Amino acid sequence: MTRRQDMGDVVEERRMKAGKMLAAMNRHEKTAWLLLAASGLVAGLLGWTLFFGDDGTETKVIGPAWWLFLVGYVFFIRRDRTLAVDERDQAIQAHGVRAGYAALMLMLVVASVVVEGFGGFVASRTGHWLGNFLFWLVCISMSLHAAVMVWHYGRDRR
Amino acid sequence: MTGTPIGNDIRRLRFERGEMTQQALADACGVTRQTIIALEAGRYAPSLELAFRIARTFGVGVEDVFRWQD
Repeated sequence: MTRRQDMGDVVEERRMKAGKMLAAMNRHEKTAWLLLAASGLVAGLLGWTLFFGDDGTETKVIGPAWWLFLVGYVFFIRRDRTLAVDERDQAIQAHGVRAGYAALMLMLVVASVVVEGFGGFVASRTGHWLGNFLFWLVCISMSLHAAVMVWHYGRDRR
Repeated sequence: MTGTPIGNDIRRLRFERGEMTQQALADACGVTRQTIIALEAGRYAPSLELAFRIARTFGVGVEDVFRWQD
Protein backbone atom coordinates (compact mmCIF):
# COMPACT_ATOMS: atom_id res chain seq x y z
CA MET A 1 0.00 0.00 0.00
CA THR A 2 1.37 3.41 -0.91
CA ARG A 3 1.82 6.29 1.49
CA ARG A 4 -0.92 8.17 -0.36
CA GLN A 5 -3.38 5.30 0.12
CA ASP A 6 -2.47 5.18 3.82
CA MET A 7 -3.22 8.88 4.15
CA GLY A 8 -6.52 8.37 2.34
CA ASP A 9 -7.47 5.58 4.75
CA VAL A 10 -6.62 7.74 7.75
CA VAL A 11 -8.70 10.62 6.39
CA GLU A 12 -11.63 8.28 5.66
CA GLU A 13 -11.38 6.75 9.14
CA ARG A 14 -11.38 10.20 10.77
CA ARG A 15 -14.35 11.26 8.65
CA MET A 16 -16.28 8.17 9.77
CA LYS A 17 -15.34 8.84 13.40
CA ALA A 18 -16.53 12.45 13.13
CA GLY A 19 -19.77 11.27 11.50
CA LYS A 20 -20.39 8.76 14.29
CA MET A 21 -19.65 11.40 16.92
CA LEU A 22 -22.06 13.83 15.28
CA ALA A 23 -24.75 11.15 15.12
CA ALA A 24 -24.25 10.39 18.83
CA MET A 25 -24.89 14.02 19.83
CA ASN A 26 -28.32 15.28 20.74
CA ARG A 27 -29.59 18.61 19.49
CA HIS A 28 -28.52 20.50 22.62
CA GLU A 29 -24.95 19.28 22.33
CA LYS A 30 -24.82 20.37 18.70
CA THR A 31 -26.20 23.77 19.73
CA ALA A 32 -23.51 24.04 22.42
CA TRP A 33 -20.82 23.36 19.80
CA LEU A 34 -22.36 25.95 17.51
CA LEU A 35 -22.47 28.51 20.33
CA LEU A 36 -18.85 27.77 21.19
CA ALA A 37 -17.76 28.23 17.57
CA ALA A 38 -19.79 31.41 17.06
CA SER A 39 -18.97 33.14 20.35
CA GLY A 40 -15.33 32.03 20.21
CA LEU A 41 -14.97 33.42 16.70
CA VAL A 42 -16.65 36.71 17.62
CA ALA A 43 -14.53 37.01 20.79
CA GLY A 44 -11.35 36.34 18.83
CA LEU A 45 -12.14 38.77 16.02
CA LEU A 46 -13.40 41.50 18.33
CA GLY A 47 -10.40 41.10 20.65
CA TRP A 48 -8.05 41.39 17.70
CA THR A 49 -9.87 44.47 16.40
CA LEU A 50 -9.91 46.12 19.83
CA PHE A 51 -6.26 45.66 20.71
CA PHE A 52 -4.42 45.19 17.40
CA GLY A 53 -6.73 46.59 14.72
CA ASP A 54 -6.05 49.93 13.08
CA ASP A 55 -9.59 51.21 13.61
CA GLY A 56 -10.22 49.46 16.91
CA THR A 57 -11.18 52.72 18.56
CA GLU A 58 -13.91 53.58 16.08
CA THR A 59 -15.43 50.23 15.09
CA LYS A 60 -19.14 50.31 15.78
CA VAL A 61 -19.76 46.65 16.50
CA ILE A 62 -22.29 46.67 19.31
CA GLY A 63 -25.41 47.62 17.36
CA PRO A 64 -25.09 45.03 14.58
CA ALA A 65 -23.73 42.43 17.02
CA TRP A 66 -26.71 42.69 19.36
CA TRP A 67 -29.12 42.48 16.42
CA LEU A 68 -27.29 39.40 15.17
CA PHE A 69 -27.40 37.92 18.65
CA LEU A 70 -31.13 38.63 18.99
CA VAL A 71 -31.99 37.18 15.57
CA GLY A 72 -29.85 34.08 16.26
CA TYR A 73 -31.41 33.61 19.68
CA VAL A 74 -34.99 33.89 18.36
CA PHE A 75 -34.10 31.51 15.50
CA PHE A 76 -32.82 28.86 17.92
CA ILE A 77 -35.67 29.29 20.40
CA ARG A 78 -38.22 28.89 17.60
CA ARG A 79 -36.46 25.83 16.23
CA ASP A 80 -36.04 24.30 19.69
CA ARG A 81 -39.65 24.80 20.69
CA THR A 82 -40.62 21.22 19.87
CA LEU A 83 -37.55 19.74 21.46
CA ALA A 84 -37.86 18.47 25.02
CA VAL A 85 -35.06 19.51 27.34
CA ASP A 86 -34.46 16.70 29.77
CA GLU A 87 -33.03 17.01 33.25
CA ARG A 88 -29.45 16.19 32.21
CA ASP A 89 -29.53 18.92 29.55
CA GLN A 90 -30.86 21.35 32.17
CA ALA A 91 -28.13 20.34 34.62
CA ILE A 92 -25.45 20.82 31.96
CA GLN A 93 -26.92 24.19 30.96
CA ALA A 94 -26.84 25.23 34.63
CA HIS A 95 -23.14 24.30 34.85
CA GLY A 96 -22.47 26.40 31.75
CA VAL A 97 -24.44 29.41 33.00
CA ARG A 98 -22.67 29.30 36.38
CA ALA A 99 -19.25 29.21 34.72
CA GLY A 100 -20.19 31.99 32.29
CA TYR A 101 -21.47 34.35 34.99
CA ALA A 102 -18.51 33.62 37.27
CA ALA A 103 -16.09 34.38 34.41
CA LEU A 104 -17.92 37.60 33.54
CA MET A 105 -17.84 38.79 37.16
CA LEU A 106 -14.16 37.92 37.48
CA MET A 107 -13.26 39.70 34.24
CA LEU A 108 -15.18 42.84 35.28
CA VAL A 109 -13.44 42.90 38.65
CA VAL A 110 -10.01 42.35 37.08
CA ALA A 111 -10.70 44.97 34.37
CA SER A 112 -11.83 47.53 36.95
CA VAL A 113 -8.63 46.96 38.96
CA VAL A 114 -6.27 46.85 35.98
CA VAL A 115 -7.82 49.93 34.33
CA GLU A 116 -6.38 52.16 37.07
CA GLY A 117 -2.89 51.51 35.74
CA PHE A 118 -3.90 52.35 32.18
CA GLY A 119 -5.66 55.66 32.69
CA GLY A 120 -4.02 57.28 29.65
CA PHE A 121 -4.85 54.38 27.36
CA VAL A 122 -8.51 54.29 28.43
CA ALA A 123 -8.87 58.08 28.21
CA SER A 124 -7.66 57.95 24.60
CA ARG A 125 -10.41 55.47 23.62
CA THR A 126 -13.86 56.44 22.38
CA GLY A 127 -17.17 55.46 23.88
CA HIS A 128 -17.60 52.92 21.07
CA TRP A 129 -14.33 51.25 22.04
CA LEU A 130 -15.42 50.91 25.67
CA GLY A 131 -18.82 49.55 24.60
CA ASN A 132 -17.12 47.05 22.32
CA PHE A 133 -14.78 46.08 25.14
CA LEU A 134 -17.74 45.23 27.39
CA PHE A 135 -19.36 43.27 24.56
CA TRP A 136 -16.06 41.42 24.13
CA LEU A 137 -16.19 40.38 27.80
CA VAL A 138 -19.75 39.10 27.28
CA CYS A 139 -18.57 37.09 24.24
CA ILE A 140 -15.73 35.54 26.25
CA SER A 141 -18.12 34.56 29.05
CA MET A 142 -20.50 33.04 26.47
CA SER A 143 -17.60 31.09 24.98
CA LEU A 144 -16.74 29.74 28.41
CA HIS A 145 -20.41 28.90 29.04
CA ALA A 146 -20.49 26.89 25.77
CA ALA A 147 -17.09 25.28 26.43
CA VAL A 148 -18.22 24.02 29.84
CA MET A 149 -21.39 22.56 28.28
CA VAL A 150 -19.38 20.85 25.52
CA TRP A 151 -16.95 19.47 28.11
CA HIS A 152 -19.81 18.01 30.20
CA TYR A 153 -21.46 16.43 27.16
CA GLY A 154 -18.14 14.97 26.06
CA ARG A 155 -17.39 13.60 29.55
CA ASP A 156 -20.81 11.90 29.73
CA ARG A 157 -20.19 10.17 26.41
CA ARG A 158 -16.71 8.81 27.27
CA MET B 1 -13.78 11.76 36.63
CA THR B 2 -15.15 8.46 37.92
CA GLY B 3 -18.81 9.44 37.67
CA THR B 4 -21.39 8.90 40.33
CA PRO B 5 -21.51 6.57 43.36
CA ILE B 6 -24.96 5.39 42.26
CA GLY B 7 -24.79 2.18 40.25
CA ASN B 8 -27.64 0.74 38.22
CA ASP B 9 -28.84 -2.36 36.38
CA ILE B 10 -30.58 -0.56 33.53
CA ARG B 11 -28.69 -2.41 30.83
CA ARG B 12 -29.52 -5.82 32.33
CA LEU B 13 -33.16 -4.90 32.85
CA ARG B 14 -33.45 -3.69 29.25
CA PHE B 15 -32.18 -6.98 27.92
CA GLU B 16 -34.37 -8.99 30.26
CA ARG B 17 -37.36 -7.17 28.81
CA GLY B 18 -37.03 -8.29 25.24
CA GLU B 19 -33.88 -6.33 24.44
CA MET B 20 -35.61 -3.00 24.86
CA THR B 21 -33.66 -0.31 23.03
CA GLN B 22 -32.18 2.72 24.72
CA GLN B 23 -34.42 4.91 22.57
CA ALA B 24 -37.55 3.01 23.66
CA LEU B 25 -36.61 3.41 27.32
CA ALA B 26 -35.80 7.08 26.76
CA ASP B 27 -39.18 7.67 25.10
CA ALA B 28 -40.98 5.85 27.92
CA CYS B 29 -39.23 8.00 30.54
CA GLY B 30 -39.37 11.32 28.67
CA VAL B 31 -35.62 11.85 28.31
CA THR B 32 -33.13 11.70 25.45
CA ARG B 33 -31.24 8.55 24.43
CA GLN B 34 -28.01 10.30 25.41
CA THR B 35 -29.25 10.54 29.00
CA ILE B 36 -29.88 6.78 29.09
CA ILE B 37 -26.37 6.21 27.69
CA ALA B 38 -24.89 8.46 30.41
CA LEU B 39 -26.93 6.64 33.08
CA GLU B 40 -25.83 3.20 31.92
CA ALA B 41 -22.21 4.35 31.84
CA GLY B 42 -22.53 5.58 35.43
CA ARG B 43 -21.75 9.14 34.36
CA TYR B 44 -24.98 10.70 35.55
CA ALA B 45 -27.04 10.38 38.73
CA PRO B 46 -30.74 10.75 37.92
CA SER B 47 -33.24 12.82 39.87
CA LEU B 48 -35.61 10.95 42.15
CA GLU B 49 -38.40 11.53 39.64
CA LEU B 50 -36.45 10.01 36.75
CA ALA B 51 -35.35 7.09 38.94
CA PHE B 52 -39.01 6.32 39.69
CA ARG B 53 -39.96 6.71 36.03
CA ILE B 54 -37.30 4.20 34.99
CA ALA B 55 -38.29 1.75 37.72
CA ARG B 56 -41.98 2.03 36.76
CA THR B 57 -41.12 1.42 33.12
CA PHE B 58 -39.47 -1.86 34.12
CA GLY B 59 -42.25 -2.65 36.61
CA VAL B 60 -39.87 -2.97 39.55
CA GLY B 61 -38.92 -0.94 42.61
CA VAL B 62 -36.30 1.82 42.57
CA GLU B 63 -33.95 -0.27 44.71
CA ASP B 64 -34.06 -3.03 42.07
CA VAL B 65 -32.67 -0.61 39.49
CA PHE B 66 -30.36 1.65 41.49
CA ARG B 67 -27.94 0.90 44.29
CA TRP B 68 -25.33 2.79 46.30
CA GLN B 69 -21.78 1.75 45.45
CA ASP B 70 -19.23 2.09 48.28
